[in-house]
Amino acid sequence: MTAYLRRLLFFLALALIATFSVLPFLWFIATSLKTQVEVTAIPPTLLPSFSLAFYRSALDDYHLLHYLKNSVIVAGAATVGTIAISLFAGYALARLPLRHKPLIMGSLLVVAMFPQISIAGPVWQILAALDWLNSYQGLILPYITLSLPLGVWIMTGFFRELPRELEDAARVDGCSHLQTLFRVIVPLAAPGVFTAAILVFIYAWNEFFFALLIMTQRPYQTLPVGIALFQGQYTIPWGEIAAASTIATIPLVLLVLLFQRRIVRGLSAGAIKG
Amino acid sequence: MTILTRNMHGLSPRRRRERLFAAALLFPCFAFVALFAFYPIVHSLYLSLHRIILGLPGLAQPFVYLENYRQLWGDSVARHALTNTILFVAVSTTCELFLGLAMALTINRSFRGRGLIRAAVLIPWAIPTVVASQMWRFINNDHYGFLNYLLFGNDLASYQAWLADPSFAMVAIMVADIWKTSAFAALIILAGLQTIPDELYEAARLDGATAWQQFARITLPLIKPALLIALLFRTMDAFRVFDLVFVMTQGGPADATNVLQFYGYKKMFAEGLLGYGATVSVLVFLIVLGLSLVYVRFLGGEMREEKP
Amino acid sequence: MAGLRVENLTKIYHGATVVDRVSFTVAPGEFCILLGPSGCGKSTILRLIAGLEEQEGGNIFIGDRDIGVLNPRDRDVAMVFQSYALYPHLSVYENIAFPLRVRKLPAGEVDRRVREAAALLEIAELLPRRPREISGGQRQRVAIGRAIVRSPRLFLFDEPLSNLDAKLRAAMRVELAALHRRLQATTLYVTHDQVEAMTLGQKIVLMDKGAVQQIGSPRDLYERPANLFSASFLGAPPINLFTGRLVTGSGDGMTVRLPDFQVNAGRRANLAPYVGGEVTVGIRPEAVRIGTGSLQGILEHIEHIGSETILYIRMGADRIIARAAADFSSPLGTTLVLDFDPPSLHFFRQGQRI
Repeated sequence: MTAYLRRLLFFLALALIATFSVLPFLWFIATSLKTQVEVTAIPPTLLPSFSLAFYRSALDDYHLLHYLKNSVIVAGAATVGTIAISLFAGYALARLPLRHKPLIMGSLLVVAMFPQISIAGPVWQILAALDWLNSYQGLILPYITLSLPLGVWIMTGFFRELPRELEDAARVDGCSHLQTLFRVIVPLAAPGVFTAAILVFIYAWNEFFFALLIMTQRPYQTLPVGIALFQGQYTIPWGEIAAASTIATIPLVLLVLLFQRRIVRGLSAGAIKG
Repeated sequence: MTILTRNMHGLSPRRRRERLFAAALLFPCFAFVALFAFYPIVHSLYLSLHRIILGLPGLAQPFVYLENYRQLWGDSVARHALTNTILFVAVSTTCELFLGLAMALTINRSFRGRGLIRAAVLIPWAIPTVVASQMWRFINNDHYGFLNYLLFGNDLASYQAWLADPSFAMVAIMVADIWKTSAFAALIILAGLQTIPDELYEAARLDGATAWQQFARITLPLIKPALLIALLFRTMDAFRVFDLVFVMTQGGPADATNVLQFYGYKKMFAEGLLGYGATVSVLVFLIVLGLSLVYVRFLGGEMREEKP
Repeated sequence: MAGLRVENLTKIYHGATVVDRVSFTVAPGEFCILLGPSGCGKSTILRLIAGLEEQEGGNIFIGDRDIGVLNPRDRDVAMVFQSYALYPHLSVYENIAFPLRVRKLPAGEVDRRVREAAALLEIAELLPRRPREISGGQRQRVAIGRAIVRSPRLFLFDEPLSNLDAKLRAAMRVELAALHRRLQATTLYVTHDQVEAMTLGQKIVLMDKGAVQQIGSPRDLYERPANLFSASFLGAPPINLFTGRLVTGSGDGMTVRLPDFQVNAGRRANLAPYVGGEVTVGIRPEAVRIGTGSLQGILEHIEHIGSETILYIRMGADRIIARAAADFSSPLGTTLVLDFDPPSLHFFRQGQRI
């Protein structure tokens, strides 16, 4: 096979991969920018007329802003909570003397594997007993629990990489363990925290199962629930669904585009070092 | 010679304080996990041994031993859900690995615009699963769907209702899943590829190895751990498929796409059979646990082999 | 300034004894070097004294305080690390101020002390910068500044110069010596570099495999090595060693008989008990006289290093190293006449000096 042919095949493969990855979503975005007539045209029109009618409709008639607000609150709070807990847990696992470390990390990994259905019933019961169904904390707390394995894994790996001498210097300079943690470790944890925060936020933003279960009243529902349950009066409002989906996805796509290196490193570091 | 005073565990006061500090730092993490993860798993087991109907609190909640399990054993819908799930896991995981491998191999070389391609590949991963589900539902739509247009163009009479077809609905769901998560496998494998030093390939080229030989003898063996990890994660995840089924087909048509988690969800929350639903959930948990143990042993062996 | 006393310090790591009943003292204001090859335990001893690790046995006294059970923060000890360990997220000023801020000193006092230390180390203009913006040598000074700003009772240095290039190392040696003269601080300095040890130390504690080999001034160690390890470790090029039989020679003199030649030992009454037995003779390269004498050897290799010439001479089964003037020139393979100056000979039996 000549070099020229190989290069051609290579770029063909690239084009295919890129198209395959992006085209379906582009189609959906295009749909959101059509007019009602264009959407229901058979056969479908390819190019939209860039109308914002569906977006307006999604915002006004389908309470998109509500869902957006709830998602921001839940995902934001869950991220903050998970990061705080993971930072401390990760430091303890990376640096402090503890017995049974492999067991602890292993059990966290197991939690990440739990099928949602297997804990759904009792979690629901607990929240019902506390009257926390259809409340922000009712969703935030399970989210924190389920994203802790990811957060702890990332933070532990990160702290292991920090030079030990920094902590030694801090202790000789007069810091207690707690002071070392807050004066030296926490300020330096920023990169790890950043990566973990992005991944946890993406998880919480996308989560559907528990959101569906716990938030049954519209004022509290998050974007995934809203988008899944979009009901039109007579027909499925595809245009509005597409518009809502685009809005739900734009923040994540931006995050991924801006921070793809970090994300890739965070995902694979845990896995490869595994 | 003075020996430092040790308590009965052989620890000095300083070390004991360090351990306490570490335990304190870990406590919040474990409080959450114990309450919202470990306890529920155990309690699910407990629930599966009872007959509980949500929404009818007046009804007694008798202990029924293994009655639920007996019922599950004879439940043909459950059996169907199990086979559907296994089929889904097998096919989509295999495809994702192959596709992921192809993507990773292609992206691994440096070329201009590599960052753009990588971003393009990551986009499906970034999209919420629910959004992807609606998207593919629309693509498969019998009137306005892009798939029909692609296949039949203006021949409207041939347009199919793909998601209403029992044989095709599962394929549609698998395609949607493969589209969404091949990137994940690609990323893991890519990380593995990048740990292979270029010199190995250069030495092989000097020794006269063809591209295929280089792939089979250098690349494949060295990315085996990455492949296994990708396989492990994807299998675990695939068993938990729910969002796609809920949005695209609701388990239909005629249970053609009914999967374990969806079935459990329906039983537990749509029909309110908390006890029976818990039984299904215990089944799913045991399957996933068993699989992960097999993998860990297998992976552990691989990892141990790795060390020279 | 207080003195340091270490008694029977022992550290066991995973079943292996890495520090074996080590004892030594450092007088107040003295500059003491812990010298030895990698893995000999010297850094571990430093960490034990700092309190970063816990010992299995032994005592550590600073002044008359037993600090063995105290946390690092309570020991009043400052440490300069091999890789400087500067806090990357703090400015140079804050790095130096760190120990004072942790002890909650008033801001005015902190500022005064930081500027004083910075002036002493000539890094005043670096104060607002970050560690990543300054060079290795400058970082080193900041690390030292962080240590001296506390006026601790004891200074610990863990191979601080090993990350610097040779020229900078030489310059820093001079500065460290000057600094010590200024501060008169009790200092324990770990290194594997014998040049540093010989030039900086007032006292050297030589270690190998966790045990003390010899303690003394640099001259003591060089001129009267207590065992074969000491003799071989100090001195570059290293000492020449031969093993042979000690016999009585003409007059009161003794001779060491080797398979291919013999070494005239001169009058050595103290060696009398060992006559007839095996001894090891050592002679430093600079004590080998070329051009006169009763011994001979073949010139195998020659190294001109500018200020002098190093000769590698084969004598039978042995090869010795000698120093010669810079202008020494002789083709390889020449037979040279040489002599060992009897008073410069060292004698060892079973590894120990006799």
